[in-house]
Amino acid sequence: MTTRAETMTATAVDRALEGQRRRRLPWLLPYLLALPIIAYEGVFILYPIYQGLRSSFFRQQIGMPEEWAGLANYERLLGDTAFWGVMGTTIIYMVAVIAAAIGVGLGSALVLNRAFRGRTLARAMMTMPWSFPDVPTVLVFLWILNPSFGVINVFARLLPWIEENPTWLLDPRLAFVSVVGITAWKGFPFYSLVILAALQTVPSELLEAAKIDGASPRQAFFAVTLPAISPTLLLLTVLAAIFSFKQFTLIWLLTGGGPSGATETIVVRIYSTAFRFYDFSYAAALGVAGFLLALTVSLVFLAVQRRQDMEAG
Amino acid sequence: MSTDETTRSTILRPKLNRRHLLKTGSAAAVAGAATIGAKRSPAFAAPAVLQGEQITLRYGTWFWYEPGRAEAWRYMIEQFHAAQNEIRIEESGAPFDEFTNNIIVQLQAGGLDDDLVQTTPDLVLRLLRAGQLASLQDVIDSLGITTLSPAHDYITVDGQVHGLDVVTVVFGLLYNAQLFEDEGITTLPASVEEWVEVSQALTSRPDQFGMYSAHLTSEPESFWFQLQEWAMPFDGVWANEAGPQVNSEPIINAVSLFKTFYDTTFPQGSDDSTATRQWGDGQIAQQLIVSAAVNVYRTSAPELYPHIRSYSLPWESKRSIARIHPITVNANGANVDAAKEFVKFLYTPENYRELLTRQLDVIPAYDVGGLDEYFSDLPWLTGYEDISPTTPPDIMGDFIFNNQEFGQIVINRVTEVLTADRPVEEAMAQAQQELEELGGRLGL
Repeated sequence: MTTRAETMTATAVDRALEGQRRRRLPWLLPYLLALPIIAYEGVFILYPIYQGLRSSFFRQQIGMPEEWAGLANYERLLGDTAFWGVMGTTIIYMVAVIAAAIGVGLGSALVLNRAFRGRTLARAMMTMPWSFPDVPTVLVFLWILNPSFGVINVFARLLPWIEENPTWLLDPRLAFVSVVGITAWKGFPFYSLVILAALQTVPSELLEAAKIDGASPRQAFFAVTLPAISPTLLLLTVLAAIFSFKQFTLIWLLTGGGPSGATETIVVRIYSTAFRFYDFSYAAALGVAGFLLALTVSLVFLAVQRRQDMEAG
Repeated sequence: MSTDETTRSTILRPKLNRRHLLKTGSAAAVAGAATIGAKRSPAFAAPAVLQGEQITLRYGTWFWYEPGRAEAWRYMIEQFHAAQNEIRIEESGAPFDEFTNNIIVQLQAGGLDDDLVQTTPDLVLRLLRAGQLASLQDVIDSLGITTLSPAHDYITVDGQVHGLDVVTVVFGLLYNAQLFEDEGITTLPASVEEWVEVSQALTSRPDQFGMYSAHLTSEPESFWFQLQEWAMPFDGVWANEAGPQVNSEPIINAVSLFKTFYDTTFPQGSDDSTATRQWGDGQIAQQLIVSAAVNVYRTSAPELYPHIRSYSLPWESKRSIARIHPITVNANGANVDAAKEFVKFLYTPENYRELLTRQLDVIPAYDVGGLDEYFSDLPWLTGYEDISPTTPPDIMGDFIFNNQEFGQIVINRVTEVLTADRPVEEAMAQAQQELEELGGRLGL
């Protein structure tokens, strides 16, 4: 039979252990909490990246054992004129989308930042393109841009120099402009909302002071508003670069990278190489090149931001 | 049997098959073999090895996503389930556009998930080369089939066939007879020039278009799949054992003809789904398209279906691409024998006839007999009757294994011809150079 003294001793031991556990818990807790995300990142991000990198050093044929290829895929990549063309298109596409989406986003944010009747409704409507799913959006645009019956032709034909319906997605130059335009249209509400939020943090006293000092609205914008929101604009530029770099759905469904490769970005090229031509190891090498491009762009922007921060003290 | 019926039933057997028959015996022997086959397997019975244990087979195919064809296959599977209790078939696969990718990704990941895999002419070769396919020769032997279409030759290794065709599609010219009648066209084109003329007469943009063929880079597979057929009027091949042939005269002529049609008769910019809708609405007069499409139109455009006809290909050789789609058995699967039993069930003559007619197909893979009445009820069949079939490997040589990459290079240059008015010769010369580089890299 257990005596009272023994019970008390056991309780004291339990308490001591509980205390130890509690003391240990703060040390373990962060690791325990981080474990799921580390496991997730490891399995779904780091491991695939490792496999992709590894694949780029092998030669793979469907259903056959892989063979070590060393740097052969990278040598091929450096001598592949199509690859350099695709890289050029990717960079031009990124710059064009950044300029168009952030430009329109900034313009619309400035308009929506002013007080006018129905502003809330206008803000809500502006966000609609961003909320539409990609695939239905593309299907609608394919109809709008159809050279035979697309509604856009009605407006295009109003222009005096246009006599025939333009082949929007068939002509290489028009296709590129169309794809950039649709990408920017789809993305600008996000940038606009973020800029709008930034505009509301611009100190009103500064704007009032500028006004009292006789600054015109244009001068006030360039001297007060723009410097105040420039960190936000820089961040958005980085985001726009990343978003446009990885854009696939819109391009693939609109043009498939054509016509004649006019809209073929690195992501489209990787997809075709891997999943249409089944050249997995070369696709992996292209993926590494794309990753380096994205990394370079991000690092450049981060460096600029750091410099700005240092200048601002 | 009337002369027409005799002609029809004879012609719809693959031509080489007929030659084979002449070599090996009389047509009567063939009919006898088919009859014997039918008598040997009037009803399906599972082999003893399978009895007492239920097996579920996964059949990976895109058929489940195709109107018309899906119903036909589900019916056949119901019949299979009713005929025995040991084997069950489970639907697997993906829509056609994603199907091949899914299978390749499975392969790359270690092996095929499905017991039965539906294949295309290209995919079957890849799987065969990767050692994934079981021989189905025992199925053919056990059914006593001696007239299997020679289109299976390219998947026969050491006398063992590794897939059995369940859908042969062949390109032909389908047209909307109502539009022809409205336009007062009573004489059907008999030459390429007349074909162009009639197509242009039927075009009244933007309301009506004389012809449609896929031409968008956003649909590269359709574009290339259909473009290949345009070489047939000129007896062209895209590649052969000597390498790519895209700057040869027949191919130059083919691309020029495509350009003429594009400029003057196509609904430019219409994708496949839009064109299907335009065709259903009576806005497109003709399509150079595979026979299997009619089954889709019967469901998707029931009002148009009675007006669909076909006419004899307006070129002398009547050459046209025929593509077999073999059902295959995963050699590394756990249920090879059971899977073969299902294939055997499908290939039993009465079941095969049922499948073929329910799918609205017109080219039997072996001399199954008993189809004359069915053929005579298909008014749109006429133009497919005198076709001289050729296979994808015949026109692609060893590039058949890299068909899509080859096609992408070609359609990139053809698009320049179509939309940027680049001279055909110049564009195809560049394509030839790019394809030779591809061949060099692939060691072809």
